[in-house]
Amino acid sequence: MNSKEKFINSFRNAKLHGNFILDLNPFTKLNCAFAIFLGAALLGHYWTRLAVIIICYVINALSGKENFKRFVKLYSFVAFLFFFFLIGLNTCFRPGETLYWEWGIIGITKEGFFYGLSMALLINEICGSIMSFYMVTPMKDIMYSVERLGAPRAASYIMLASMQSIIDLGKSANTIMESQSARGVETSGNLKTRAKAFVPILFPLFLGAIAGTEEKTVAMETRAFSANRKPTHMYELRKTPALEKVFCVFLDLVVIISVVWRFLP
Amino acid sequence: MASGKVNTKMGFYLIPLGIAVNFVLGQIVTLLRLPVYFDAVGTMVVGALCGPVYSIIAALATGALLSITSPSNWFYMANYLAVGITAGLFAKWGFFKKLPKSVIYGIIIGVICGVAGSAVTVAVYGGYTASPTGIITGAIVKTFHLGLFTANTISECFSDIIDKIPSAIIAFLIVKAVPNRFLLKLPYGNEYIHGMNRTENGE
Repeated sequence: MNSKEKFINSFRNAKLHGNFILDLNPFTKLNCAFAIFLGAALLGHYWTRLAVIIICYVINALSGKENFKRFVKLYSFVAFLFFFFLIGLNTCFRPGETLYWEWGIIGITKEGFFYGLSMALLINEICGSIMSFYMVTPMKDIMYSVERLGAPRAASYIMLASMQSIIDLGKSANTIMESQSARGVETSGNLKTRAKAFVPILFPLFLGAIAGTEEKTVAMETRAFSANRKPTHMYELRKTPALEKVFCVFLDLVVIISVVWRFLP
Repeated sequence: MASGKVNTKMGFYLIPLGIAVNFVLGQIVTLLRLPVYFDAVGTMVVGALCGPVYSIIAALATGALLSITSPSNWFYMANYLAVGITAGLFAKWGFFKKLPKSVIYGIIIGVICGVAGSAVTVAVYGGYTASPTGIITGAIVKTFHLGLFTANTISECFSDIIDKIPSAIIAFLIVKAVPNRFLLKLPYGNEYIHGMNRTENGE
């Protein structure tokens, strides 16, 4: 089979990413993310929450090298911010019985520290599962599955076009910023100078983008985007295997049973 | 008036642009190290030019896409929704036509976001957000012996008003700078047509 035939045939079958986690049905992944973070949030131990954060790292590591790098870079920053602020602020400002040190309005308490730690772990495990879901599920897959459930294709267009527009607009913002600083607009200095630099970047950016929107409208309408028919897809996902559904039900049951067991007297 | 059908389509294609503006302004502001977020300007522009339905869609999509990189945005979805609803409604009442009215809109939406945001902060985070605003909240709680919700409302209204007034002014200036021939194709565009002798019905 030559490369041309291979390319053509790739559209005849469902798209596979070639990775066990990436190929799962988007709803399976959503179900797992919710089950895991709700379970850990309701169980309320430090350890279950920490375990969820570690599971998020493991899942991303299994889903490919590129994904893992991106996840570590993005999530580690978010996680650090939450740990730093939530533990710091709760330790310093939350009133408690065991007071270690007091200075002015700051009073460091044991209760505050543990409250902050538990809160930071909770927020981090929720953020970790949401972010992992987005990392291992391409937006294309999410919108395709949602569309299959009956969402309008306009919704898919808005989400996917926005992601592309963000990249495009970001690029032209950089170009405009460099051109403006080349012709002498100060982009560094005190607050007033920097605020002033904002205007000559913003207006060329927005008006250029609006002109682009007009062209996009014509292009989309000439290709019958608003036609009142059911569209076909060049990009299709595989049928969900039965094993996946069984796994989902199993995971949900485990989570429900463990939460019920925890709250039984 | 131009026919409604042509108008709506152009408005629809403006939504992704509004979402992208929300994102990119946030990036520019970070690059210039200005103390604001500006993640609602695009929503306001879409609301001003196309009305509430479009701005609500833009606001919700912005919230969903922003949470890819900072998932805690999911908690504050109500704030995005509030901006979406009010931007369209206030545009309907002509708030983006004059600068002072835009400033008033900025104050109103700042207060709404402050109150809604502080309710979320107390319910989800137990009182302190993971941002410098949280430090202000802590200082208010300790200095004036106020409850967490009151202290949060004060500090978040403060930071939101600082953010939303310039946002509303920028949205007003952008709407004013949009060329007439483009305005004609948008649902609310007729309201903003400039440089022509307009008759009563806006033709």
